Amino acid sequence: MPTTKKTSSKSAKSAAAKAPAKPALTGLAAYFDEALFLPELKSKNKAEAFEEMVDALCATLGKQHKQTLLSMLHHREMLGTTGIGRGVAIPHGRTLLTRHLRVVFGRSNTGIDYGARDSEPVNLIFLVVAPFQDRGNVYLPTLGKLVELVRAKPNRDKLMEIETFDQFVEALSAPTA
Amino acid sequence: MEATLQILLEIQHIDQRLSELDNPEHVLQFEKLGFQWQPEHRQQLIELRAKRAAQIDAELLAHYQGLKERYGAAIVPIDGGICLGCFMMIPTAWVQDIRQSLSVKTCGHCGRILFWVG
Ligand SMILES: [Zn+2]
Repeated sequence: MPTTKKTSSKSAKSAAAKAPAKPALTGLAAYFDEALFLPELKSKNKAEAFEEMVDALCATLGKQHKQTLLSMLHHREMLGTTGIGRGVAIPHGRTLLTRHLRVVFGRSNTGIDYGARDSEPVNLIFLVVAPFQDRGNVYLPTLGKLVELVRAKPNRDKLMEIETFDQFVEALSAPTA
Repeated sequence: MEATLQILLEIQHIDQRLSELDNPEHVLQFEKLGFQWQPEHRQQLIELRAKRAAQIDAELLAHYQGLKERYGAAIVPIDGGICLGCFMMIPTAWVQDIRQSLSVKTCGHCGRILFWVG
């Protein structure tokens, strides 16, 4: 579960500001965060969408690392698209810039020009960053669970309809295909 | 301004992607999930790596290369003041330096390049 073991004074302060405390998320939802929930992406293409989503990530990981994170994602796209079809993309990578696996959720109602396998525009993006040393071995299984989730059309439809983070968390625990 | 440590990290990211591409098991696992691999595009990434490597001091790049060949990963995280490559202590002042100024520091015990992970 991606909770920090050692709480620095800075993060303790920001955690205290976010009252009341919600119960810890479990399962797939444990890798998400309300600050990484972007249900209304403004971007029209892949590069813009990555920027918009990495900006959210950098609020936690540090603004100075934005370009490094972006290039890490673009390297993967150079070797083949992470747009897996049916309006879904799961860009991913392992990096020293994060201590825990984190997923940014981005949704575009109009669709993003992504260069997906089926050439269709992308509406749902799950951007996954995992630690370089994946000691808990959660990287591949998490990607697998996300793929399973979006394989079922009712789940994709639900993800297009949800409005709040709580509804999103509920959608993540839906049965898979 | 881009720090040398960030360029080194980008090189490590590229090396990681190339090693994924060279690992048939990895490629198969990711293909099964629906991700695409186009090995014919590897040259683009190699060229990008060369461009980035040219921006690094030759001696430091050789050090990176040597570490990569010896240990797999040249840059390792610091956790709780410890180098996660060899589990030896790192001077506290260095940790601050790496964290705040992205200074390039190598572990006094194993020589790996240290990175502070947020
Ligand atoms: Zn060491």
